[in-house]
Amino acid sequence: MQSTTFDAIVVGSGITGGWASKELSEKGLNTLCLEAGRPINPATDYVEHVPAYEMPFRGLGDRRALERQQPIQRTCYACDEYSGKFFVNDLDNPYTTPVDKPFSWIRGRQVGGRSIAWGRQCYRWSDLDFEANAREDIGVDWPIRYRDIAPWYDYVERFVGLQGNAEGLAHLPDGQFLPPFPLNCAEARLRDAVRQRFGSERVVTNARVAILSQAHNGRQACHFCGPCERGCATFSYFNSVHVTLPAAHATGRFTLRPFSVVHSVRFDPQTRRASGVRVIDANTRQVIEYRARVVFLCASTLESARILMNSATAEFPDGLANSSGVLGRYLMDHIMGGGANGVVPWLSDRKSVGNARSGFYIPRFRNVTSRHQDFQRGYAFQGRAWRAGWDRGRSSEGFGADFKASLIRGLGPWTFRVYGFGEHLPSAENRAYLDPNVVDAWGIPALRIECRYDDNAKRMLKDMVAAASEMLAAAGATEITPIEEDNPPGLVIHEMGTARMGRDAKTSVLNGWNQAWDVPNLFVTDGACMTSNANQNPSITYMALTARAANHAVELMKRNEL
Amino acid sequence: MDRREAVRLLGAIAAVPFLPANAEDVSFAERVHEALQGSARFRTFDPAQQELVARLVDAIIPRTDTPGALDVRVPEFIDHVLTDWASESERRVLLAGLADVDARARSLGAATFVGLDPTRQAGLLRMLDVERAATSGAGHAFGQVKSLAVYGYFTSGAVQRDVLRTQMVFAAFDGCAPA
Repeated sequence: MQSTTFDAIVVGSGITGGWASKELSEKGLNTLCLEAGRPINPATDYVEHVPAYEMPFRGLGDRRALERQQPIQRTCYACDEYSGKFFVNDLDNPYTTPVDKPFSWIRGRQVGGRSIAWGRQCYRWSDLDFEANAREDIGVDWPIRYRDIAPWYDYVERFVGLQGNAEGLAHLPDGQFLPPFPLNCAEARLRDAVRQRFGSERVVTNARVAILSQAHNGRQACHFCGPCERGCATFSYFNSVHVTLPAAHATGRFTLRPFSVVHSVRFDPQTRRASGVRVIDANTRQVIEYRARVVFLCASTLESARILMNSATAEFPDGLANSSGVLGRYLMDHIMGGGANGVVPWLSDRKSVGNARSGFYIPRFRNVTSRHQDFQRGYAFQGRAWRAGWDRGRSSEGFGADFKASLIRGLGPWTFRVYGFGEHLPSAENRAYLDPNVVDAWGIPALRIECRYDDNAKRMLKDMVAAASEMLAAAGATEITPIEEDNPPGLVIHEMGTARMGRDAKTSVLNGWNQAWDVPNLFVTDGACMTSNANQNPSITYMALTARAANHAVELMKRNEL
Repeated sequence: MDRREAVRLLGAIAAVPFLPANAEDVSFAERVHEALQGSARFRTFDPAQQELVARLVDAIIPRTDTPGALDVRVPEFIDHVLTDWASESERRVLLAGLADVDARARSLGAATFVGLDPTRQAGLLRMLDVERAATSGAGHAFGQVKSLAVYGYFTSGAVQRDVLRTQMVFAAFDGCAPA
């Protein structure tokens, strides 16, 4: 019979659960990782090379099944006919929102979690971000500064295999970069035009992505097939399935248990420690308790908060580790969807060969060295330039033999997309709590989520449109069309907060080591821990915080302080 | 559709001006007949709609030195999308739009679009192409059929393999290759 007692339990096997599993097992702990969903076998589950003509709907997706079973998940670009299996069934995993506060909760429940279909963009934070709350008296101060996390960024980046171009920007620190994929020649020309027009104020750099540009740690370089979100036969992009979890397995001290829906963390009022977790087997509905000396919640921002809420005790009636009362509050998501598209007339004799999923990045330039009058904090742009192939014929003019020939042999003009991601200020009103009337397929109380973007974020979105347009104009683009989307929060899939870190147990759930103030052997290292959300894609920061917290937990255990 | 109707259809199609000069009537006839013979494969289009859609997609993507839309069963693909993918209202609007295509043909003196002489067919298609972004009516139907014809044609196995020769894996990325 399988043991139910371990040194460490990790809840979740996604980006942070994979890292916690690797670090804790490598440091000598007998570690159990509990994953709510099914196992993933790369040999059979990865489908990035399956051509459209082998799919029942040629890649258009089984729309009716998606509408019926994944009405929320399908709003994510990556939840398509191929990758839909890496997203949850919304019927089994309900949550509620007020009618006037839609929130798109995009989730992956399988081994690897959302790391299979994640966006792979990785940007360090700086003290511009870690000091912002204190400087502006918003929310609470971060208990850490860049110097605390910098060595851990180095540590995880070396293992992940992150490509990028060192730019020497203080507010977007360089990392441990592999060589970047080159910008294509249209993107390079935009870079040069922006430099000429805006000097050092605005920088167009290579996207920093966790895709290998060269062989690294036994994994092969990218083969430029394109759809990373469907898996990768050569393990060239980073995810838990083929990078961190195998490293954990290699220790001989690691147990991965799929189909294990964590109901709650068990709290021992005598020791004032977490004693383990209560699990519902997803298939048999059997309730199992696992015990451990330390518990890492890595279930994703809202799931970890939900588990703590479902772990309420007499002492913690509003959720475990919630003496502060802020559990579930200060939920944030980046605001995305401001920018511009544009067409350029030049370089018609050039094209890209190979599908490099990188593109360009324009780091934050608002409120860096000068104060913007309309909003606080800032935003960054991601973008790319491409030439459309045959698909442009779906909407363009023409028919007949010449039309057909042009689609087979020709390409559309270079087209730019410049798309912004901005900061969302923490607010107590943006929160999640247990809905008294709704449970999931395993009978576990579900969340009610109330979150909306503030006026600051909406003003930022308007500035994204203007700034993107003027950069495209500087590059000589024509047909510049604004992008001004009205996306619900959640859809960016950068949801953060709900169990924030802080300097004071009265106003935060976690201390500067991602350790629950109230329950010292309980750590939360996913996005729930975030005290503000900056504008950078957050996963690399979660990874660094997780590795740092795991190291700290093991140090405490060695000193018998946990 | 029976053999007699198929032959009538072929007569209409075979005369259109943008057929390749080297197209052999017999093989073309067989091709269309083959494309349309299994009406059981069509679950939304009735025989008259099958004729019309076949005519439209062949005009949009004719056989040239490479296969045409009918060669890779684009009408069946469109029927599949309408049957198993489209919403009820999308399907209804598109079918109504196809009826409007025939109505436009009647205003030009023929019983159906297929019955128009080739010159008038081509002229009407050019008008419908201008209206392709409409949300209903004949232009909408043409725009939808065209969008699905392009998608169905270029995602078909034969075209991906033999026409586009789509490369899945690359040894290197070149962001500035000769076009």
